[in-house]
Amino acid sequence: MPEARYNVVYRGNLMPGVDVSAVKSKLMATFPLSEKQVETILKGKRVVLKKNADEATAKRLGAALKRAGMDIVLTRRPVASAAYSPASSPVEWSEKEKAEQDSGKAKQEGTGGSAQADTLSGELGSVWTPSEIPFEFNGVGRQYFKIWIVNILLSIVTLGIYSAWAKVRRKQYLYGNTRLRGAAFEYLADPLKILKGRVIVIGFFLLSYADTYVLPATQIVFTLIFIVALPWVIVRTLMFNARNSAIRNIRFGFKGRVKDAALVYLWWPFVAIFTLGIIFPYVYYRQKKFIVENSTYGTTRFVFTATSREYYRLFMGAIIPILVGILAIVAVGYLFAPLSGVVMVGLYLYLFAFYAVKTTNLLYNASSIAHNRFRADLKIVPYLMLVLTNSLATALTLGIFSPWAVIRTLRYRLGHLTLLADEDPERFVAGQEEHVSALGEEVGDFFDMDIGL
Amino acid sequence: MIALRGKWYDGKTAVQTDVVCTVYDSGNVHVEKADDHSRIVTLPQFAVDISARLADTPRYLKFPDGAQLETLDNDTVDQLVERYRRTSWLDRVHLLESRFKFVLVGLLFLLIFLWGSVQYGIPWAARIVAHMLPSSILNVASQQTLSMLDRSMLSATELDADTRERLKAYFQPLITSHSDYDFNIIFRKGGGLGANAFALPDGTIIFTDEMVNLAAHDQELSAVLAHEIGHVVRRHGMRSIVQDSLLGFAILAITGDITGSSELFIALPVLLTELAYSREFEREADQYALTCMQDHYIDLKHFANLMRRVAKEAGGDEGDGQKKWVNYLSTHPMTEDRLKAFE
Repeated sequence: MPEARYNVVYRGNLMPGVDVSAVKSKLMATFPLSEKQVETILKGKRVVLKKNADEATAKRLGAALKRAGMDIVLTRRPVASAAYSPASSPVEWSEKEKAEQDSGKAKQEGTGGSAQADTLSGELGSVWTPSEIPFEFNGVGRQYFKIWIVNILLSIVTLGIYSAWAKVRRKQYLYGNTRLRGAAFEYLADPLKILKGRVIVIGFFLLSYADTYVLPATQIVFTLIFIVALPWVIVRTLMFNARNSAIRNIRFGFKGRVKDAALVYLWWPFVAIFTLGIIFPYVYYRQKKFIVENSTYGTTRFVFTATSREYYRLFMGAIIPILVGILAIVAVGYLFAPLSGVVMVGLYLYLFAFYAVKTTNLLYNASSIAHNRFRADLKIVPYLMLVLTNSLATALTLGIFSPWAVIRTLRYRLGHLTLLADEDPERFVAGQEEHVSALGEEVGDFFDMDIGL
Repeated sequence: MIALRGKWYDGKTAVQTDVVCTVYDSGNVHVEKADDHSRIVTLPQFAVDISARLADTPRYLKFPDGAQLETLDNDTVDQLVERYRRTSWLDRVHLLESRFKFVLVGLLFLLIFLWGSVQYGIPWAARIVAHMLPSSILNVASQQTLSMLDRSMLSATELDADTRERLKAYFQPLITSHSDYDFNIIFRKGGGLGANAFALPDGTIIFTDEMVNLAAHDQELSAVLAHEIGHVVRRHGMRSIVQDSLLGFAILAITGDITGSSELFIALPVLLTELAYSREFEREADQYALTCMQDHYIDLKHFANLMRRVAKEAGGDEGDGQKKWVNYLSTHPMTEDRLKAFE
């Protein structure tokens, strides 16, 4: 294995109980830095002080800076690849980093790149654990609100035509504010394709509607067409979404076959009806497995390690809260009837949060790609409070709050999602270009199908 | 000369490189690594696609070979666009999105639009759609509703055949005066529904036994029939279905994908609006009954008498002004308000 390289990162804080002026003078004494340079470094922001150093250099420099009173952390760079230049000599770091500091925005970019990288916790030089890379979400409710309201207004004014562009802008905002190791997610769908898809879908439904006048008996044909087309629609939706999502200029993909989609979305649910839902957790598991295992990033497939047993355990976990909730409703109803409605809403909300949190956690914790795993640690009670406040505020403001609700939810969900990188994230390779029409996706959208991750 | 920093991705691998991109006045583009200044790409002309601005999200400079530069330096990118690219109409959209003044005007417009749609637009559209629906749909919908009611709430009537025949004969003048419609009077035991009457879109009108028993005079039942005929003639059944789905659609369009909120709460304003629509229909039907009764020389007080008895039966002690807010949670207007016109 090639030698690992490290970044030396100042976390923006001084060590506890250390005085700023003491740090300044120590730094100026130890390193060839001017007072102004030291002040810029100590502004209280996270700064990469040295990039791409070998282990010995990084540790030596890190230890020296720590002695001066700065809270320093070493982060592991992706294993040296052709794209990286060898480390520059230790003496130069002051000048080099200063240049990066002066161009404000560029610094933000620069640190974003590696500062989020693998954090070496504890003492300098301790043993490596798989590096933890948090998902960052920087969306702002106010900004998203402005985009949202312009989207609605332009859609009204253009009689719906703009809605395709609206969808793309909405998604681009959310994707663009989601970052992983200094790279943002990118939504690449072509609004024209979405518009075409929508026109065809609406055409189909107008046709089936007109059919009720002319030949009411043939209505069943349209229903059959829809049922038969459902697996195709699902595959197309997943494919369109994946193909139009990218990070680091490499797209995601979806390789699921319609035949398999028919199995997990039509056949197994059909069987589930006749087993009184006992196999429902298994069906749910098969659907998630189908989605994850057929998803790709570049040429690499995702892996799904969950078992149906885990999904049974998950859904069984809801039985106790349900029983307790029903008992509470009955008991409260016996004492003071009007309150039982409140308890009922409470139970509903709890189950809503329970389902969202547990399925999200299991899905991500069981998914991996190459040697990169995910860790999702959403919690039921905070999520419940989030849903409750979002729902109340959205209802009371007639929907005007909904952009904030979206941002708050994403912030929570992404804030509890971490990539556990055990491997060079740069080894992923782009796949073949494929173009997918938006038709399937728009059919799915029309019915508000929720089959994404 | 314009220079900006960013991350370089070649489009073939996920390798991330810090770069500086320099665009000279001639349009010449240089991209070099930020650390050792080694050159990555040189373009003789500015053959670079630039993504449209969207708030503070990263911009992408897309190079001809599929590589791209990702940067947060939106202002510098805007300079490049101004200089070397035609501005896209999406940049104007960005202007709209970034001025709070426009957004406030937009919000105001949206609220007025929402109010107008709920108050006028949706009921108007629903009326048109409901009148376009063919009778086959009305029949199917009505049969399904009736069998659903029969299964869940209603049971076979316990009235004797004589009473039923007498009432049907008594109703005949009202029914024959609506020769365009195919009215069918049926009786059921209401059970939990108590004294009630419903109209289905195809002209089926159901009286519960309790309603019949509560009536002191057959003319009182004629008054109720006139009200139910009003529902059918004005197509309230279909209009409310269309209205409610249009409303749901409009709310969905506004709230979009609400992953973090539960639909239970979003349904609340929808429900309140639907109730308001329902009360409006009741008023329309009352109005219809009023004219219909005058045409047939039925004393208007019969309607009021029966309605009061029904309200009393249901245990409502409304009308004292303090419980006005209950009105917003009700499918029917308050009894006393309804009856003013009949006295």
